[in-house]
Amino acid sequence: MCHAPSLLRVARRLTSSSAADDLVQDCLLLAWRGFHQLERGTNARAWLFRILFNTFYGQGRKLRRVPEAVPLTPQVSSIAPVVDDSIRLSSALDTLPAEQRAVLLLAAVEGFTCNEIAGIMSIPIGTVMSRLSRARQAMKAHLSAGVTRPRAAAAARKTR
Amino acid sequence: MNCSELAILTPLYLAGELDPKQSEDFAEHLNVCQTCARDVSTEQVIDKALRDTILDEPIDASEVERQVRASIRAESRQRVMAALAIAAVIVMAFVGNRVMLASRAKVIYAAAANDHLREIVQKEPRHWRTDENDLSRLLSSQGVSMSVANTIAPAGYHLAEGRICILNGRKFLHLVYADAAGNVSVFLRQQTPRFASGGVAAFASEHVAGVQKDALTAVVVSDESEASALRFARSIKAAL
Repeated sequence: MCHAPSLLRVARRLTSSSAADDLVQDCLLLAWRGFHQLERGTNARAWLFRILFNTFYGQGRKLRRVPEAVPLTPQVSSIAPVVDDSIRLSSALDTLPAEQRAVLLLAAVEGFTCNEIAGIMSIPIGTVMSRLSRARQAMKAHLSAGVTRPRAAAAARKTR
Repeated sequence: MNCSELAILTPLYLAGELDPKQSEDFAEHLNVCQTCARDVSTEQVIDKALRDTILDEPIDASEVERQVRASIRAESRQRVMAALAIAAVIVMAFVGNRVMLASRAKVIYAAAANDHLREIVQKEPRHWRTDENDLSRLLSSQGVSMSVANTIAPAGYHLAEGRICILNGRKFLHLVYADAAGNVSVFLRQQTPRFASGGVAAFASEHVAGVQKDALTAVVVSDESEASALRFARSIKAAL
């Protein structure tokens, strides 16, 4: 249960708030049922996140909320003041394609390694690396240009 | 390491997953390439800012945790109920089996007592094998050796005669052991259906006791006491 806030934090960035609550409930219940399958020495937190993503995909959901493509050129020098703006950071995150947002959350916020993320999301590590690179490039681009699209993000969230 | 290679490996660098050789090459390139150094530094800054921002967002998981705990309690109760139901079925099956075996024993005991009364006590005419060779062949045909037949003889009794008889529709080898005072019937059968052995029952003036060992069933009928019938049966089981 101590990992519920982390799971909820990621789930709410993947899907709507109420669906995220259901998703985390399902995830924790499945983990309780399958606790005997957890081998000693296994990273329990990564195991829980893997269940979260398996449940998410298993319920026929797909990572969505792909925003309109916004070709931007990063201007690194302008990023420093922007990263202090939590609203703009959060909005920039929301404009990322969901697959990129998921790997960035798992890496930057939850502190998982690329290898662990590959296991959690059941994708090759090369895919994790490329998604992370693209996610960080996109974040840089949005923040350096000062472009955030809260309305687009909100609209996209409603479609989930 | 060139700029493109560094860009590919940056996610592993930021996650601390580079091997020592890659780390060395990576650091070397950062020392000589300001553009890459600035890019990597910016990504680190963004990651940290993102982490701080997201972790600062309030997350209340108490309702989710409450729901999960309630679901776990309900499911635990269901599991206990299911286990109790399975246990009840097993107990009922066991008791039912014991009742069936006891019932089957009662039928076989009654048939054995009736056979003994008619053939031994009332001496209804039957074709008995009394000759040792005939008896030996009869015993062999039922998978019992002469030595076993002699071994199971109650103390003080000797094998006098034998024949095949039918008890409750099943073929039994009926052996009669005699002493100066009377006769004891022993009914033997290989691969008989199981019944609750070890019990003793009275039918008219006779007492019947049965034992089973491996695939062999023995039912003893005697006009002596219940205790004697039971003792005969147990001695047969010990001798088998």
